[in-house]
Amino acid sequence: MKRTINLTLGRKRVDGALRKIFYATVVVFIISVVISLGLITYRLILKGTYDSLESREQELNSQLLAQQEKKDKLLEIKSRISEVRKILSNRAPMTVRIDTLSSIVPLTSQVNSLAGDDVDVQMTIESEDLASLSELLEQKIAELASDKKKGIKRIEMRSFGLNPKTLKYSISFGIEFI
Amino acid sequence: MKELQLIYRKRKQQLLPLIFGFASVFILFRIVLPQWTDIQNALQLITTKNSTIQAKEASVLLLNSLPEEGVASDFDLITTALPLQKDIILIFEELNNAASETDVDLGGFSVKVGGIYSAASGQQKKEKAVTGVPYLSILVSVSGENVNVRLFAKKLYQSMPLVEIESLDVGRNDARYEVKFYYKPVSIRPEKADTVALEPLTNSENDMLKTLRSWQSSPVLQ
Repeated sequence: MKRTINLTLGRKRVDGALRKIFYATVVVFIISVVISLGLITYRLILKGTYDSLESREQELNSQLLAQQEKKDKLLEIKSRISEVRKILSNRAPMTVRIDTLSSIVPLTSQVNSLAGDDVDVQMTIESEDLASLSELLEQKIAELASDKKKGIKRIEMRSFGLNPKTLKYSISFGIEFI
Repeated sequence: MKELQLIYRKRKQQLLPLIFGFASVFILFRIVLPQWTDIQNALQLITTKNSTIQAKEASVLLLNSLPEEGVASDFDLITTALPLQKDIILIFEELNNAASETDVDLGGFSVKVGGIYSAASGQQKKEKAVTGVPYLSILVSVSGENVNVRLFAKKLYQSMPLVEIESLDVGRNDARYEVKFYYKPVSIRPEKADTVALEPLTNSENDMLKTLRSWQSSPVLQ
């Protein structure tokens, strides 16, 4: 048997390793406790902040409640303005159609009837002056149709004749708008 | 008990790290992680609350800056342009005013108020305009000089409540117009509307009100 063998050396190594593990776990434990305490404190601070915000909101709610009528009116005004815009931009341009068609009627002529909607309109004109009606057919209608802004798709002459009651020439057009 | 103390003394070096380790894990899962989740939720709630408060503060500030009379006047104007309901009296006044200003005689008008009973929803659909705003269809007859009966249509387009002429039949000395009178019941706003700050009227909205105000008392444009 060798006398130089140290039987206590392994035991000491194990003790050292266990001591290190002990210190490490203590450090981890302390860090966990510190973090959890920090988080709890932070959460309490947040709760306090939320409570103060809640009370501020209550205060604002009571101020808004006092002006509820004014607020409702303002919201209604804004909502209705957008509806009014929608109506104005979408409504049939009947007055524009009337103006467009009235502009080509010769001064010596009379509009007997103007009927239709914003797409199809029928106009009947009566006149004693055949020359003015001829000018209307040959010149004015062509000018009107060529003006793209007027939005005319088609113009057709539906009838032409002499009215036996008034002894005037009567001409009828059908105008189709885009 | 003595046995336990004996075991503790004997195994102290192994037991203590185990106890601290388990305690750390316990703290991590039972305190740190739940607190972390709660803090995240609380932060989110605070952010939402803050934005709500900012919106409400802005709304209060705006409402305080607006004069009561101004808002009431604009509200009256806009509800005249687009009434809250089918207001027959308002329509009658409008037609009478337009007729007297354009020097035509109002022959009469028939109002389609609405169905008394309808099993299907077809009737309701029929009353909805293309724009989504309900309206009341009225057939108006006027008589007078040809120029004036045409002017009557123009006057209708520059007056309130807002109208749309659907079809016309203008004769030499009379005319019949099929007119839509628009109206709109009060809209129901969602609860969430409180979290959005009120905005003042924009320039274009003020311009629109100005235009409508000018129609209230202006003579018809020739």
